[in-house]
Amino acid sequence: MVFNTGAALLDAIVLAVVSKEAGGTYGYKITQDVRQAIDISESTLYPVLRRLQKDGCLEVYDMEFGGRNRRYYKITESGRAQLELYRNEWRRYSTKISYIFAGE
Amino acid sequence: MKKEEFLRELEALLGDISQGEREEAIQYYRDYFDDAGPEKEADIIEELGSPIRVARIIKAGLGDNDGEFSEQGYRDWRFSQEQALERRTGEAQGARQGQAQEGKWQAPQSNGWKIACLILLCILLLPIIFPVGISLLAVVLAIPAVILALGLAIAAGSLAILISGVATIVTGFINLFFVPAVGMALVGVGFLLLALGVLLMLATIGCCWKVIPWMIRGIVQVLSYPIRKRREAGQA
Repeated sequence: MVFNTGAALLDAIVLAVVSKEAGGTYGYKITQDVRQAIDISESTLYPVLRRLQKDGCLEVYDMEFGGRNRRYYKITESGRAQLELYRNEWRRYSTKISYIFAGE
Repeated sequence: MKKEEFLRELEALLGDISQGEREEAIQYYRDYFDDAGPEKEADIIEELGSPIRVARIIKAGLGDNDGEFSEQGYRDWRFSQEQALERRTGEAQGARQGQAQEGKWQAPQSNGWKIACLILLCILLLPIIFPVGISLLAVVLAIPAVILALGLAIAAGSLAILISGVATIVTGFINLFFVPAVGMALVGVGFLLLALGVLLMLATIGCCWKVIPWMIRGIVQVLSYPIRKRREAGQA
């Protein structure tokens, strides 16, 4: 990737990915989903998820899966509000950048 | 290295953070391995690098752990990373902790240093640069002067041939009345000279027509080269 993904954008992508799963999703799947958009290493996401959890944007719960407890991440109400804020910001930002790129 | 070994080492390396954080992180990576499946175990371990690296990234994510991640220590960690991605996370972390500002005001300072060094170098090299530059300029200006002089010489030569041609024809005409054979020969030679002169003159004019604008363009291009280069660099 030529363009850097800053902390806010990474937060927004993670929140968006988690919000798509109504019942919650887990670390490995989040990493794979985020990787569809940006190239991140497997060790990048844990600190991001942990921080979003501490900030109250994500909540975690453990559920039994295949004979073990799997940790699930789910978006909270304040996470949704944060994501909406990011979405609006992104719309404004990307529209302006696209306009500059397209304009002669 | 196997998954269990990796997790055990990671757990040991996280010994200095709170138990809650440690369990949280270990649970995450254990889940990660389990969900990826045993066939991907080796790939994941390779991509994660060493447990030391993963432990550093986990600790860097804990903003409250400033004992180990003092500014200096943190920066060392950030710059020792080979992968740009980790650096990115590091930068984001740094910005959150208000450390990025330091990097920001360092940049112009080093730039100023560079400019100062460049100026000093120019001053020291002035005794060399100045004469070399002047001689280069002289050479550049001398080339068109030589070409111009050559052109003028040819023009003058052709003019001389023209005049001598006319003179020979006149002499030939006069001689025609006394010694017709000599007179005719002289008139013939005179016309030949006249033709040669006209040809040379035309060639010279033609050359000047083409060469002079070309030369002026060349000089302008050479002199404006530094300005053009700077403008191009500015656009790039």
